[in-house]
Amino acid sequence: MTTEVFEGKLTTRSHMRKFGLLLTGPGMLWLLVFLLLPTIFLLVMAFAERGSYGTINWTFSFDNVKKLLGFSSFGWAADNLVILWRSFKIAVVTTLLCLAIGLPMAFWIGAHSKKVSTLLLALVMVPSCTNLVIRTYAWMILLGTQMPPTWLARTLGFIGEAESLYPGTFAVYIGMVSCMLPFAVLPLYTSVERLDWGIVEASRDLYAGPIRTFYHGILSQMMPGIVASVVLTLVPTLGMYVVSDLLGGAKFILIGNLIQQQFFGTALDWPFGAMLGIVLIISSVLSLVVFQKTGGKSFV
Amino acid sequence: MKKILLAALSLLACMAFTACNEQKQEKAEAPKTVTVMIYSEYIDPAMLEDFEKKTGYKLQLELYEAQEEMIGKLQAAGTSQYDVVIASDVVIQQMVHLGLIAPIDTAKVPNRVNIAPQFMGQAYDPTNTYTIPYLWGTTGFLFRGDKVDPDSVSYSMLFDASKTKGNFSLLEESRSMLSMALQAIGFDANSTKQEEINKAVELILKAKKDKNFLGFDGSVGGKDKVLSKMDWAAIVFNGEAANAIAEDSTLQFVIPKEGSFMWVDAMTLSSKAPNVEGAYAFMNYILDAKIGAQLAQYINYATPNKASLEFVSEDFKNDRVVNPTESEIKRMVFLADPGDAAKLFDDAWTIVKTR
Repeated sequence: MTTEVFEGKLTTRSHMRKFGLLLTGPGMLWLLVFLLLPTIFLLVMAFAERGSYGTINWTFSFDNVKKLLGFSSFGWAADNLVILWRSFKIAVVTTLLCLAIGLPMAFWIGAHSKKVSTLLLALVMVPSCTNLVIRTYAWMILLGTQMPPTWLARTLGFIGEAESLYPGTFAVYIGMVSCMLPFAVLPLYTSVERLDWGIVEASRDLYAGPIRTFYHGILSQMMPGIVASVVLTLVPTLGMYVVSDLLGGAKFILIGNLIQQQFFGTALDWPFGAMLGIVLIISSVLSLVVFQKTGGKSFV
Repeated sequence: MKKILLAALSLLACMAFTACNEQKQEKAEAPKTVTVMIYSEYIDPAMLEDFEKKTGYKLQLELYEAQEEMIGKLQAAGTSQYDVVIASDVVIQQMVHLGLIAPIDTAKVPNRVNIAPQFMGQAYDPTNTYTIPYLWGTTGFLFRGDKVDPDSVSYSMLFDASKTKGNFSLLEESRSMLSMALQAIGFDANSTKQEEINKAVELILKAKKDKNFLGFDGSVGGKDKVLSKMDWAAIVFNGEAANAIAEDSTLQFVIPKEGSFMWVDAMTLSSKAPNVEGAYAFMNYILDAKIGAQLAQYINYATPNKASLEFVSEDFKNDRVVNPTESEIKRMVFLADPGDAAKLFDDAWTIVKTR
């Protein structure tokens, strides 16, 4: 048997089992009580039925699956699938925008001295101290009819004479990106800080062009950071609906709205809400797995 | 060091004891309290003292901001913590069904005779056993532009793309907006017929395609957009309209001629009210003619108390936004509880918000 060296008392396998369990116990218990059990409850509820006045009938049925696929009181329509597709589109675009803005930002912050870069990082985080709804209201005012951004966009001919930047798609993306950017920048910055510039040097020595150097020398090293920032932006944006409602004028709903509508709307259909919640969890996990499998591998 | 610790401990113990004593005394001497669950800023603060003086009960307010929050609190914390619950007409039937409120012994509330007839036998409480109206209001269009005859405005002002004169918002609430669309076509606002609701959906979808359509908004949001000139028109409750017109007198508020819906906030008796007598005393107090007038003028909402009209100022009485005319009242309805048709409205709303 090989002997493994661990910190402190965790020197042998049996010790490791005993003390390790003791040490990880609270964390495990936390996950069990606040993650596993609620998720199981959600899963059970997803296959129950809605009773009258928001009560739940605990009879097993596949009605919610059928409803999800578009069979409503008005016959079949693709509405729910359209909502899912739309939510995905917005989440993916927001994530890509965050990466596109976050990558140069991370390099720029990393290029400064330790003192300055700490300050710059703090500046990135500071807006998160304000409540999301308040920040969104600030954008509503800033992008309003009589404000400079709208005037500028009008003068440059991006929008018509009577139109304004808010409410609309542009405002939604501004709000989403400004909200998620700190979460994208932080992991990217950590990656930049840890970059082994020797590899870049080696690549230049071997006459690789700037693009190849960036692709093989830098981007492949940054993959863990990129994966982390994609996880931190994609998953929350998938379920977000406050920003899109406030800045988009609530014309179109996303999966988050649909879930909210089941729990607080006229229908009070908790089981269907649970089903939608499960779908949201599965689809975000699935998209991350796919991303890691395809995106992650192509660099190695 | 030990001495200091000991001294601190004993001091703490003393404080705890006296605190306990004080609490006990308070419980024994203080008048019994009546706990009322109510929207924030929905009562004249002067009434707290006045109520105690007149009835001997101490009035305690528990505030909430939204109907769902109120129902959630009742379901979670139990109904035994509250005596009177102020609830909107649309959730009354649900609360009865969930066992959150109990029938009112009408003999204990003699001032009930003051209630105006339009609040009797309505859909939200057909037998008049669960509710006593508190304040009420209407829903209509708030807009900017030349003065028009308030009885001549039709829904086509918003739903006909050739008639919209600027940006407009529709109401962000499924049941209310669909009921208004039903009325715009000429159907009953409380219709639960699928083909009629389908027509209402199509009407709203058509309005969504209008280039002037700015989005769906709540009553407050709609008011803010009209005030800031972002919107030319929006659908709002009369309370918001009155506030907006007070700020900008060029604005107008109308009830469309095809009709719209009224709403009422009612006093209900919590099903496990600890102080039932006190709850009746509060209901009776609010229904007093003078108190009703004071309440309505303070909040600037219409009173359901017909005896109060004698005691309100001329200005308040003539404010058509707050106090609708007879003909306006005639074309408005209360929204009935849709029962199991709630599902229909929800599916319809998903379509409205997706396409």
